Amino acid sequence: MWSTPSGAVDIRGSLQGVDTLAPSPRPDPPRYRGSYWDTPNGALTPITPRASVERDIGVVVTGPGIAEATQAMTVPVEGNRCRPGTVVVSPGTTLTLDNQDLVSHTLYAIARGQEANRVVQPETTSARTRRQITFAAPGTYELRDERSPAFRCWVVVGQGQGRVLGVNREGAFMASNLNEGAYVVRAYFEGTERGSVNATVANEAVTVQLPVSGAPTPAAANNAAPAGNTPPAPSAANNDSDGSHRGRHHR
Amino acid sequence: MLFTRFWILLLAAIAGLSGAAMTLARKTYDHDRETDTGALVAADRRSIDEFLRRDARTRLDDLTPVAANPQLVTLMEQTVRRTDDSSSAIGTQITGRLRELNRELGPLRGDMLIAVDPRGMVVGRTGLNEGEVGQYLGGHPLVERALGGNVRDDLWEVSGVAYRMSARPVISQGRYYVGAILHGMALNASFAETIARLVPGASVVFFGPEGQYAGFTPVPERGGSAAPAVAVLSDQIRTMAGREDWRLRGVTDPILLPDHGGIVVYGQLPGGVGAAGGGVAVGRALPSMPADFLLKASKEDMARVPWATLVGLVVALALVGFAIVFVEYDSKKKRLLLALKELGKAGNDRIDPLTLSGFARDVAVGTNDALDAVVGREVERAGGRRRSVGDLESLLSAPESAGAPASAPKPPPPPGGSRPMTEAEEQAHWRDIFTQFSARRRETGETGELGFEQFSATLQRNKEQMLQRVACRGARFQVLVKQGRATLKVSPVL
Repeated sequence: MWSTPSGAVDIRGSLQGVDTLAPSPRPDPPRYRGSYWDTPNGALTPITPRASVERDIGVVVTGPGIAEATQAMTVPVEGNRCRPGTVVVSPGTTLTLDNQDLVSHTLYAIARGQEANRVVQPETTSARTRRQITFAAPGTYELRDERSPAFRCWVVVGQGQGRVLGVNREGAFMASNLNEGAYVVRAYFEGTERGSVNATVANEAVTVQLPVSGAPTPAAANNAAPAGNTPPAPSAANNDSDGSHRGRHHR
Repeated sequence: MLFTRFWILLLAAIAGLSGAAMTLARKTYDHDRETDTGALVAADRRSIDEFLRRDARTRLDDLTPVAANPQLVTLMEQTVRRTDDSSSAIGTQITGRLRELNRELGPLRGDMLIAVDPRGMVVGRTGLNEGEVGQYLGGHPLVERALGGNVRDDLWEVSGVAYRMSARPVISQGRYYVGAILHGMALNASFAETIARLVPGASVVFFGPEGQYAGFTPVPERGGSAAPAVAVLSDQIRTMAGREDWRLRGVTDPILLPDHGGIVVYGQLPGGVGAAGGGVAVGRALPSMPADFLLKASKEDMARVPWATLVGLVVALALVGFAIVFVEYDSKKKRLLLALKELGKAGNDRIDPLTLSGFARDVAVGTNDALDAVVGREVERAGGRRRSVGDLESLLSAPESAGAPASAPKPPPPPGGSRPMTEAEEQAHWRDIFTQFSARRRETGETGELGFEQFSATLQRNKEQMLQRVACRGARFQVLVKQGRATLKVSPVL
């Protein structure tokens, strides 16, 4: 499924326990009426919505040779959410929201737990257009849409966030072209770290299993902090030589 | 003329009150119509909301044969097993099948009909962006709920056009969800007209956060008021965000348009359009009573007026007015004309004011004064002198020869009968004559102060002259009105 450049070392892995992730309910704003009708089909029992493995989970690898410089990053907005569902960036990174959706979005950002504190003001982004935003302070932010209360997107801002990896529909991911050394792969869901795994790369590809859980990891829970505080930082050393890969989505 | 003046005042008051009553009635009518129209427009909005709800249910029900079409279900089952999201043969087949099924929907044919797989990816579409597949839609509540097994409707805005969306899950073998079908119909001018015809006489506008989607203003009925134009309703949309009722309840109270051009109610629509601030506006003209409403009265309105009562009232008022004018003017004028005619006869040189009343007496006194002035001028021109208050001698008429009018009352018997009066009786007699003389002077309009001492001295002098001329024991006096003036007549007591 994945292609590997010659001479490069890869980390290949897969997410485990994704079924335990359930999207948290989004409270409707006052006076909001989503529809006239929303009823079971009458033939087959409805099922509970689950997280989309390939869209809602953000997987990030950190370690030697992973670029930490602040570089522009493009985040597709599609199907009323961004991809990945949790975007991890360094402070000051210019984030380009690429609206590939059918409909317009009027996105704004709040710091987690601070509903009234809009750190990014609402602005309408029509379908097939882009908008750039920047988060200067570390923290966890939530992007919301004034036009759609069900919109889902989180942004984790902090130093040393590493490279974002794409995840396919089976939950498989791959980090390619790595130097030898010790790496940490983390999984984020709804702005919170839900699992991590260590991987030591020598001269051949490494395969890891990344377990995720419905509850935040102990480390994430201990470091959970409102905006303005630095989120859990990886232990790996910074290396700018791999900056060209930063922000890309591997599908 | 007192009653005539009062009558004129009364008629003026009735006219004023009638005008005030008409103005008040018109204002009351307009106020009531404003309240009634506001309630009507609010009811219109609820009716439209109910129609939209039923329209959504109809579309959901009519989508059932599409979602259950065996060929489509088979194709959807194949999408679950595919490994590549890019355009492929399966996408073309699904799009073709959707096109056929959409055509079979007849009047409910969708402007877009989309099939999505269980992951929320578009696997076939007809209508809007026909043939485009691979786009992710799974995060939209409409799609998410349908993929989870629910039927749901929504309102989407795509490229400035609002679509009435409905979605149904696609079920395989009665056991598995293999995707969902999305159906969308544009909320266009035709649909707005259909909605507007449900509330005859009202304008309807569907609007979104950036402006109106579609609207319709009916042609006013003959003689009716025109409903507010779509542009007028749209102009008010930008004020919605600042209204508390809109923010808290999603629907406004009836709003009076500028210049009383009508009343409008705004209500939020559901779904994505509603969340973005879109809604529907319903407006009606505000019926008002025109200033020339009397000229526009219909035959039916005229027939409802109690003409018999009104005509009877008018006739009664006129008769009362005529009677008052006759009593206060016509009859007095007639008597005055007769007195003037008598004045022209020989032997009459004055009008007796005591025989007249009201304005006729005033005219008589004025006439006498004018005659006096004319005569005075002639006397002075002839070397004579005028009578004055101090010239009491001229007040006395010659005994028996003064030409007293035949109607003059006989003198009262002297105090003490035929015997001479004592001095006290004579003083009392003179005092009584003085009182009568003063009263007659006032009645005839003569002016000037006259004292009793001066008056009694004159009487004494005339008494002595009478005693010298006639062998008598005394003299008695009598007050007469002669030729409109008070005079004294002296008679001997033999």
